[in-house]
Amino acid sequence: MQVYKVFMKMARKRLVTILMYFGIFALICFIMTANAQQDKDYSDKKLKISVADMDNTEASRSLRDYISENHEIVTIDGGDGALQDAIYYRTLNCSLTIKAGFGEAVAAGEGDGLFEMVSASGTYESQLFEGQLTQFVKTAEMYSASGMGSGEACRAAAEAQEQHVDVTVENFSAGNPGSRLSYFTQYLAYIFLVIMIVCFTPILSAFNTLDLRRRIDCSALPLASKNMQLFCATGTLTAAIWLVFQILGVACYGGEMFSKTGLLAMLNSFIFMVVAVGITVLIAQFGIAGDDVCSMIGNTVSLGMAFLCGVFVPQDLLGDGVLKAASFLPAYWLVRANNMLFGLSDEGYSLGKYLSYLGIEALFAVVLFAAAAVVAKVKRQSAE
Amino acid sequence: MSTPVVKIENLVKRYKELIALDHFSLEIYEGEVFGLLGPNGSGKTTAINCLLSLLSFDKGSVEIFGEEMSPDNYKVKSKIGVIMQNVAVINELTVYENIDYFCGLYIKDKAERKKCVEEAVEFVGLEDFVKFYPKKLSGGLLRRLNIACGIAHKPKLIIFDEPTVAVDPQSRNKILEGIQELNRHGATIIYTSHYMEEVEQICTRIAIMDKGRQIALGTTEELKKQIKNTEKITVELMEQSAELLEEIRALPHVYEAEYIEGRAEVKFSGGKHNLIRLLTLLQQKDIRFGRVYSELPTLNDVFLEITGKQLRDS
Repeated sequence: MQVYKVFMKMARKRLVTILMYFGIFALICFIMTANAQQDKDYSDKKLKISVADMDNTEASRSLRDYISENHEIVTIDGGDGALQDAIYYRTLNCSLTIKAGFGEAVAAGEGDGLFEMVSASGTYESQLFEGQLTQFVKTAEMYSASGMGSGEACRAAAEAQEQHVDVTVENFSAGNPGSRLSYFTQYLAYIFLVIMIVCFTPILSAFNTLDLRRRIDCSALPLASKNMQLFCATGTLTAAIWLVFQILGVACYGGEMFSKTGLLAMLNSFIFMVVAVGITVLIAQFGIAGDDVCSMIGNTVSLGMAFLCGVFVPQDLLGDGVLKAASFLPAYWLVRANNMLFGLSDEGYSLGKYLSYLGIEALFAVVLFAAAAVVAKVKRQSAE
Repeated sequence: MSTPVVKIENLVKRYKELIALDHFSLEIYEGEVFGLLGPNGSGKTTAINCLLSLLSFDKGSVEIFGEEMSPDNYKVKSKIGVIMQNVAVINELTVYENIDYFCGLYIKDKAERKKCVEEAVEFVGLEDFVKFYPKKLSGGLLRRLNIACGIAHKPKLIIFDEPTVAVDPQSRNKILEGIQELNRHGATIIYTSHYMEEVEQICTRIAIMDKGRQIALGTTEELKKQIKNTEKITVELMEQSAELLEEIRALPHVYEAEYIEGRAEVKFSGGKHNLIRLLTLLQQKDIRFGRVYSELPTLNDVFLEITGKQLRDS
């Protein structure tokens, strides 16, 4: 088992690099998890609003009470300039002036021009608040039309507006645990590629250099044994790295990993890991020497494939031409299967489709290993 | 003579139109330090690679220790040690780990291997560097590590392919002494080199190759007898003339005479008292002269005379 042991020793020398990639990836996962948990519960947005009541009637006071119930009323000293500064620096969302005659206008059903409002233009907060005011005035006018006085109508409108519907967001992507897992399994495509190419290409290349290969070939170690040991060592490390990342997934997303979707995504990532090994073995056949060169190649291939295939950018946002080109790359099929599993694309889940995507990934692996064997043979023949 | 350790018969190796080995034959016997010489591209390395079954060949046969050599004859391979021309070690392993790794390709038993590795480290004098990585070693130390990796399993036949290239004189001396010691311990050695003085110093028998063929074979003395030049006399002359050179050329046994940088270089083929005859002529002609040297032919002379002086890499 000399070759196996030496392969492991050489891999151990690259443990720091592997841990570095793992650490960054784990950190991103934990941050994503923590952020997503914060966003899980829905609540109404409370705005900071300054209110100037120029009407000072029962109706305008009811409106003011309604606003204070739903938002935070703040007082800004220093006149118009201070108000504009506060809005500019977003310490105040909106400044509202209830004009004199508000109560009478509500009673008369003349709802236009009751307020002066200053807010940062185009913000959704100002639109939200405007909508609430319009809703309030229309409701108050309705009550007023039914014979109530303006003060009573405004109080009734405020009560009516207080009725809330409990909202729980189920399908919002950031709040859905399944969706977070989808990012995790998607990013694995990048991390597997970069770790395998950066860390294992130099090792496999070393065994492929002409001098070392000849030195081993003229030793008493049978060629079949050498190849088997290289295969076992690569397999052991590949499985170990894949497993460690699945454990990270369990640590971040718990039982979700063992749901049907989680398990199918795990299988998807495993097949892609085999593809990553295929790419690594193929690159290693070219006898690339030096960790720096391998690092450059690893980062180029992994980042390039990740961006082209929709690992970092959703496939929906990529152009048709890009997607067509990406379909010739294995990561595209991992992402496509992943999107289907987690409902992130228009494609409805079907086991048949899922298996066909995995089959395409496996086919990529077979082609890569075959290409590596051909390159090895050609290089061996040219060395003769 | 006993059964040859290595027997190569009529080996032919072609690279398309180029014939790298042209019916090359060779026998090497137990206990020999056999020198394989030849200019660049003469087929030395091809012959070694065919011998080790690293290359296939078109015709002929190779026998080692009485068995036909083939890529899967691991029994024979286990008795061979190879020190390649290029240092073949693993940069991620220390000196000790490298020797242990290569030794482990032959010896599975851990305790036995440990002993062999320690002996190899001591043999090449790398005791102080066992924890060093190859990149931290000088050229000479790297060569010694390369040798340790090739001999740790105590092979009976050791092939050294130009082991002293780009090595300082101290390291070269250490390597040559080591090779002789290995031979004293019973190993048969095949040694290829471009350094003639090394081959002359350690080899008991020498074959000279050119254009894929063996063109001379024998001990150093036997080879020297095969060439025309038996003595070269160099005289520092105070005055030179064409007539004098003609008279020198007319002396018995002289086959070549020329002026080189104020000296006359005169080559003799056989004969006795050549120096006296030359000096007598100079005295008769009243030619003043300075220092006089008489040199017997070296292996380098043999090599150049047999293989020719034209450049081979051009």
